[in-house]
Amino acid sequence: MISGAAGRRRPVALRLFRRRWPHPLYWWAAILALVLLGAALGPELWTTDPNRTNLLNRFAGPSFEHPLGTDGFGRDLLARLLRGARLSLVSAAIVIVCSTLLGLVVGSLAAVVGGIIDTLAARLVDGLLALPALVVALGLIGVFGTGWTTLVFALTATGWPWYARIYRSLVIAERQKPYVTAARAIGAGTLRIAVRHLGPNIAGPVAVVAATDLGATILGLAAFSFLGLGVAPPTPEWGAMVAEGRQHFQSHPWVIVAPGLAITVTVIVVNLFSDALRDAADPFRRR
Amino acid sequence: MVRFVGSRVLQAAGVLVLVSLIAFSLLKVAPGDPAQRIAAERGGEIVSSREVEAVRGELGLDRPIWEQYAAWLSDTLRLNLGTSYVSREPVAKLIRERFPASFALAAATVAISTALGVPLGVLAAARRGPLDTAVRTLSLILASMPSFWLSLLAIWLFAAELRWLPAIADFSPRGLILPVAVLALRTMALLIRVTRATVIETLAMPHVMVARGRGLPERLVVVRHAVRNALVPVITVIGLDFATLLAGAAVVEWVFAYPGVGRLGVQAALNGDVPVVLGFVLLASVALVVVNTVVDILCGLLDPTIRPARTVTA
Repeated sequence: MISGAAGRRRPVALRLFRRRWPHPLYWWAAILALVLLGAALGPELWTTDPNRTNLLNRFAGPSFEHPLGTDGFGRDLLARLLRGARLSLVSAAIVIVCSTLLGLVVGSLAAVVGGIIDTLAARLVDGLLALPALVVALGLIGVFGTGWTTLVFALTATGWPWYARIYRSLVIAERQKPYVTAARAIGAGTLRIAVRHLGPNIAGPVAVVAATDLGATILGLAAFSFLGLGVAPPTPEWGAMVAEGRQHFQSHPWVIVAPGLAITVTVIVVNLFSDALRDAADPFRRR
Repeated sequence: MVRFVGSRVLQAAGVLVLVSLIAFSLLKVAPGDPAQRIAAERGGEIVSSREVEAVRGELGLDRPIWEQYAAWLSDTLRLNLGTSYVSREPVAKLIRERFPASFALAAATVAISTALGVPLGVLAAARRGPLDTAVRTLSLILASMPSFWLSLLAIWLFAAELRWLPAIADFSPRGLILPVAVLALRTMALLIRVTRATVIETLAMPHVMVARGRGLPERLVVVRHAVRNALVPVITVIGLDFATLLAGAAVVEWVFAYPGVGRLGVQAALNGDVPVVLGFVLLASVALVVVNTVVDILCGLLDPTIRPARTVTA
């Protein structure tokens, strides 16, 4: 949070503004929602085919037909960027949802069952976390072959231990609270307590963890696709677009500047959103 | 202290066993039959199933899985990592040839980012205000940029436009400048964040209040009392960065065609060259585990309070 001294220096209008919207979370959530909306509706509104080549119109500048110009094959950059946004965000969402589910299952099972199973699970998770995640992901891709499915699988397989560790300690801390004892006292079963009582109470922290990982996941997906270890070339993907533009970028830098900017801006928005979300979830944390 | 070091070494050994199990199972589940491949290499296009079976017996692939694992482990411990499918050279040799280049890249990156990142983080924490905002914004932007893109922008500006430095980085002081700069910017961004956060935390501790109460000038309070106490997390991050960069600089090495281990790993992954990929994974994992253990022990020496706590929280 902004300290008192800095807050006092703000102009009156801004201060009023701050009071009406008490938290920057709303701003970043709104901007992130715009990005998501662009990814969801963009390809429907801008219907130019992202894969239609036109070798007579390579590296064209901005025009009505191609607002952001064209790439080295004469393909429309705007259409490719919008398609790429959808692919990047959907892939990142799949990786994060799968990691969250896996982490939740392993983490909460370990916490609830306890005993030797818990010790083994905790050791395994700690061991996996001591490995270089991206290198292991590269290893998985190298062994199972390149492609979108392997990439998503590799990032999930290396990503879940982090979630499992956090959720395990979260569930251990939460199940000692009075409301769980109370629920048990009125005769609720383990499953009911987990779904109806624990679930809603850990939903906030779960969302924070997932949001914190979103930026890194988008960057990881883009990096592997850039290396040619992700989606195959004609598919519009931001990292792959940068790789394709590499041959000509000394004469036409825009073809790599545009997708790179798209990644950077998206990740900045996502990171600011997740920072704000974390602060909202834990207002007493020092910044 | 002996107990602390012993428990850390034991933990590291446990992780290394896990690494070996992962690498071995990846080798086993890798598509393609190694016996078939080797038989085909020897006997040309058409291979009878008897020939394949002969090779299988020779390689020990018909023995129980745990015997195969033991054989593989003893080979691996003697650095016999197999031969590349593509270049036919021993994997250990390929890695050994490229390791010095990666080591130099990681060492230079860590040295530069520490020299810049730690003071900037301390300054940002001590002054707050506009400098803090600037440093935080910079580190946010740097941490949000894909490193391959930053590398390409650097090549475009310094190699293509200004023609100051080569676009292809060889293992030489001149070649190292651009990749080190790109990697150091990212590493620095992370280091600034960690340093800033821990210094702010220690500045709120009672002993700092006492130092201020005694009338020490703020500069001395920060340098003597806050920074010293913030050292442990900062050293941990530096160690982690170094170990990660040894192999994790793969993307930047790839863009600059730098002759390091990372580029070898990416090329192997693209070719489906399983022995080289696994050698790369093994190297990166062992490096990370060893460096982490050494750093943990160092931190234990620096800060006695974390010694007993380690065994409980780790």
